[in-house]
Amino acid sequence: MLMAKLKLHWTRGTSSLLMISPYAYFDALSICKRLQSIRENAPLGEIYLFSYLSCLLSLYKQRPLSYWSYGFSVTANGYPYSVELDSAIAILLGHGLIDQNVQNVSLTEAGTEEHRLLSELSQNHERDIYIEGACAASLAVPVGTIRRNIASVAPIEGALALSQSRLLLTPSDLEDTCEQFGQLSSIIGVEITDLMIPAIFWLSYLSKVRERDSGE
Amino acid sequence: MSQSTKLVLPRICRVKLHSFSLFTLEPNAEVDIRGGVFCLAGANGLGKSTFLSAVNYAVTGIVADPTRTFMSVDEYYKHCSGYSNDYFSGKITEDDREAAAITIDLVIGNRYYVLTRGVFEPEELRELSIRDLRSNKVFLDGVSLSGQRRQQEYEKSIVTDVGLGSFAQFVFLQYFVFTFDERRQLLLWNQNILNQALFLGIGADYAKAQTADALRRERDKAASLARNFSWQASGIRSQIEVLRKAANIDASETDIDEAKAAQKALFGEMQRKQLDAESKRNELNDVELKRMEISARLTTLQAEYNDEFAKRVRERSHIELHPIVMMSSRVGGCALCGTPGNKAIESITTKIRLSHCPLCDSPISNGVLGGESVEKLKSIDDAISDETKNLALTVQTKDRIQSELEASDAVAEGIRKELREFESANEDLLLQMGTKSENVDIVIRKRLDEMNDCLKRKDEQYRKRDEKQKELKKLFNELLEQYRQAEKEFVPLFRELASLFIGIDLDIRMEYSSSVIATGLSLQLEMQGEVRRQIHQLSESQRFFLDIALRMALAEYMADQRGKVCLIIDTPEGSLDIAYESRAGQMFASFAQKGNNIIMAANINTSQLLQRMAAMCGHSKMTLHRMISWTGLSDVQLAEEQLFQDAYGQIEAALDKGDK
Amino acid sequence: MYADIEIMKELASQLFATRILSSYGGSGGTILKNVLDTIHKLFIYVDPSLLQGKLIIFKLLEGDDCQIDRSQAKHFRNARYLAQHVSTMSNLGTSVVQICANGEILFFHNIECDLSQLYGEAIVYIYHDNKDIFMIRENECIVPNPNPSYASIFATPTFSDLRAALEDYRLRAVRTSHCTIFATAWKKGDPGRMFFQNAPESTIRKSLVHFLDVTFGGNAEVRPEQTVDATHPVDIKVTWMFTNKLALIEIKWLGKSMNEKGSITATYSESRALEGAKQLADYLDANYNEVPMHQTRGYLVVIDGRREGLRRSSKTIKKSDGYWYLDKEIVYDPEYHVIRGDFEEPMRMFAEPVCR
Repeated sequence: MLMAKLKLHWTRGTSSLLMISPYAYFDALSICKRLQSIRENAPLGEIYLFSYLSCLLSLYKQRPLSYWSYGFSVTANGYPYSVELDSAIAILLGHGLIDQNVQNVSLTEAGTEEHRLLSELSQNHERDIYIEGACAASLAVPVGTIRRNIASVAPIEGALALSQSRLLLTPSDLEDTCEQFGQLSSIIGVEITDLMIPAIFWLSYLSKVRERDSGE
Repeated sequence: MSQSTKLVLPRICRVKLHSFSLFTLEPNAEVDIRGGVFCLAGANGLGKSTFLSAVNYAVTGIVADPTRTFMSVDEYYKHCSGYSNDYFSGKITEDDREAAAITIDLVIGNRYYVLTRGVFEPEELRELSIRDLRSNKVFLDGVSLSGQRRQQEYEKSIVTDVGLGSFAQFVFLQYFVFTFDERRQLLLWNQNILNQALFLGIGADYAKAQTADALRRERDKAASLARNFSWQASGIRSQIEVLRKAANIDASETDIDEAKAAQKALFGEMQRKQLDAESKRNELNDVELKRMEISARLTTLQAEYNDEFAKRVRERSHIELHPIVMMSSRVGGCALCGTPGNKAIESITTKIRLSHCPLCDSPISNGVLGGESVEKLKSIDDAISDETKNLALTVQTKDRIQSELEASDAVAEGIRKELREFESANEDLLLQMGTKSENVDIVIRKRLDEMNDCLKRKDEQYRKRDEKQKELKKLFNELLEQYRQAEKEFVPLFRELASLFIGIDLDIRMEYSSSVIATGLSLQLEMQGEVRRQIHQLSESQRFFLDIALRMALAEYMADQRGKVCLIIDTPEGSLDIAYESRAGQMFASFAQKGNNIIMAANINTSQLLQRMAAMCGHSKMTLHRMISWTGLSDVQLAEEQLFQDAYGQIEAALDKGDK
Repeated sequence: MYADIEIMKELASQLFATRILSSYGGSGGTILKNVLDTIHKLFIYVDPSLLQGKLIIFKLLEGDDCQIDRSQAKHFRNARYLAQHVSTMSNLGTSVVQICANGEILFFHNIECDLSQLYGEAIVYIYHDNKDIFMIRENECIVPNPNPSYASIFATPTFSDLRAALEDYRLRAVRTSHCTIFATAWKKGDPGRMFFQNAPESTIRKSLVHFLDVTFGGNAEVRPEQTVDATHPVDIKVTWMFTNKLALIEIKWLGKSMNEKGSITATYSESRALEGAKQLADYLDANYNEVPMHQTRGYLVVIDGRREGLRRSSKTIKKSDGYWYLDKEIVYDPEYHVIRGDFEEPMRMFAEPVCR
């Protein structure tokens, strides 16, 4: 799979580089680093998952929808998927900044250095706040539960139930989530700088709702 | 009316068709039209109306567009010119298009015209010759002329020989007076057309009528201005009354001073608040502009950031990307030749490290990313961060100013309202205030001067009005004199014909109305003492035949000699009472007996009309031409052919009777 | 889905994270993260169920000075080094771990001290009696563990290999019926775990799905009872994200099931397992026809609840009978896992009884 990705990257040539999202590039590096430090490995699928969760946390902090700069979707091959992240991971692999072993990715030395350099940029510094909150949530909530809970929320849940591909984070999709965030923030507050706790709270809330619904 | 203002009307004496495909059996039909009635009789749909239209087309070069409303003589001529093509297109086959033509022989006074016009060539003539009947000399032979030149010569000759001012006038008369077609507008009920016709017929001076119209407008305008000034004067008069009254109010100095101060204060306050609001608005505009500028800068910076980032990523060595190089490290050997072992890999990586191609050993640029490239990115990032902060602040400021502006506006509005209420509550005091500071008398005198000025102007305008009226009257009297003269001759003609048809005493009056129409002329019908001005009071068929009578009368009146009128009549197909049919026939016959000519098309079932006419005219004054011979009958008609034969027979019999 | 405010409010008052936030403020959140990270790292190497004494992990809100005598501590650079050290220790008694401001770890073993003074100044975690507890000031806040197969919610692993996950399921969930869902597969009122309840399939499946969901679901989607095609249902389907890798898991249980009236409703022995293997092989073929581009592997999971000498009337069972089938491996013929590339070696999971 790595070879396929590399070949694809090579043949795409510079055109894919022109389309690179600096933000997806950084996010992939950052998430990889954090997951590695928590659990010693970072399964590829979790990069997308935690990027999505980070994006949701930015919404909690009342950043506009456009802030995250790239979108997600539910596809037949998995969710949440992002083509920008996909390209970024391909480039990072191709440049030897991350390494892939079966399903897991990890930062190389060069990748660690690259991440350090890019972290100095203030835009990335802010993104790190959301990424940190999202990844840290896995300290209290098992990742499988995180995925399952996120899948139970309307946009993904509906798409999975119908086996449909679908764009995520459309304004209508977010109504429920934003309402929940609103209630959440009235209890915890929005001024909070460390987003691990709101993330844990929200995910635990989703677990409770699933419990209630399965019990009905 | 002098001889010279009468018209010499054309009389058609022969019609020849060429390749006129509509008449399948006789595409090249030829008819001689001698004096009296030429009646083309036939069943429905045989093309009778088309024949008449073709005749008129040949003579004028246009086919009347039934949808066209009449505006003016010139305009009508110009705008109908395109219609003939459409009209004939369905009636002539493709093959015959080029050949199709109509030849007309006509007589105007002493001139004998022979002209041929192509069915699809409205603006030229294929043939034209004009012969002097007395000397038999050819006055004009158009053989050597171009088609358009012939048309030009034709138009010139017609105008001169008939005695009109332009060819457009001739066309107008031909269609609206000398031709009756139920599809077009009736003269009696269209003032505009009627007036035009009357003018041309009467030979009145059109220019005079236009002057009259202009005079009338100026007169009315002067009257209107006079009224305005009068109204203004009375307004000022009532103001003076108020002032006089106010001067008598007993108010103390203090009351007035207090009111004055209060008003001044309020007014000043309101002005200040308005200025506040105004300056807030300006502030808001400025901040909005600033917001847009910052947004634009952010967009640019973002694009720069993306570009710089992509550049930076691109600068990493490509060699390491290559699948073979990567594969080598994976398989633990050279992926190209298959040599296994670390030595092979080391060789590859060393070469790359020393910036050489592992394949051909050429030097390559293997840029190493250092802190430098991040610096550029960092500076853009810092700029983005700053601008984002600026934007947030600007938006905050805008929101603040917005709410301040709303508050300011509300306050200003409140004070304005207060001021209004104060002023209306203290009207008298304030009035005094204005005058107390000056002498009341001076103010009143000023007002009086104004009023007098208005009154003076009013008088001026009325004088002007009267002047115009006088001029207008003079002009109209001239015109009216002409009308009266005409009336004396024209009305009896009409009355005679009309009463033949209607059978009752019919009177017609010419009226001068003060409408805005240039001529101001109208004809009013009176039947049995009641004035029937409304169209709906007559039945449709009655209206048609009356209109025919009117045309007959007009044409006769216009013609310089009696018995020299040629009318083209497409008999209305609507149902007339048998009695009326007969009377219509009588009317036509009477007209013909005076020596006039009618080219008419009639449906074979208007047999009463035809029989009556035939009986009165006889063969000498009426020719019946069966249209059966020109086109075939439909199956239904064929089946009932006997009926047609019977009908014809009856008319022929009547003709025979008429001779006796 | 609206926001259920009642649930949220209730949760806020019970959840350790929110309670810490409201008691200790924003800085409490950051410190909590350090504590959680340390717990995690420790539990990778140390099975909390093997802890014999209390485990206390804390970090002060400010500074590092507390009443415990630092000279008694072992210093470690970070949590990983501590974990590695602790994993080599046997008989781990009461242990106290202090996380310093600079990330260093102080480890106190077998000390007696009253740490109640810490509660107001530090985030304190205690593992004791199979419970995860955070001290919110003087109050205990127990962290619920939805996966009792593991001794602590913080010890719940994340597997990247399916077989490894199934192995853990066998050891932790099935063997001792630690999984609360699996435990309900046994007949009610049968503490000896001799008979399954009538038709225990769905319960067993639910148990495995839940287990895999939690431990394996980070990178894959675990779905119960998907049809491969119309007539071949399979128990569980696992799809990896953004690959065409697919795993089909077929579950078969062996043993006896009994209804409420006390009648034995089914008896399944070895042949059932063989049947299952064939079924799975057939399913794999059908699946290949359906989705030929997928890389599919079949897993046969055999839940072995067989007991020797079990009768309808049996109320208890002696050890030798209960454990009769402990090591009785099933012989498969044909050996699909040998002759087919897409067939994993079947896993037999023996569920232990409770004997007198």
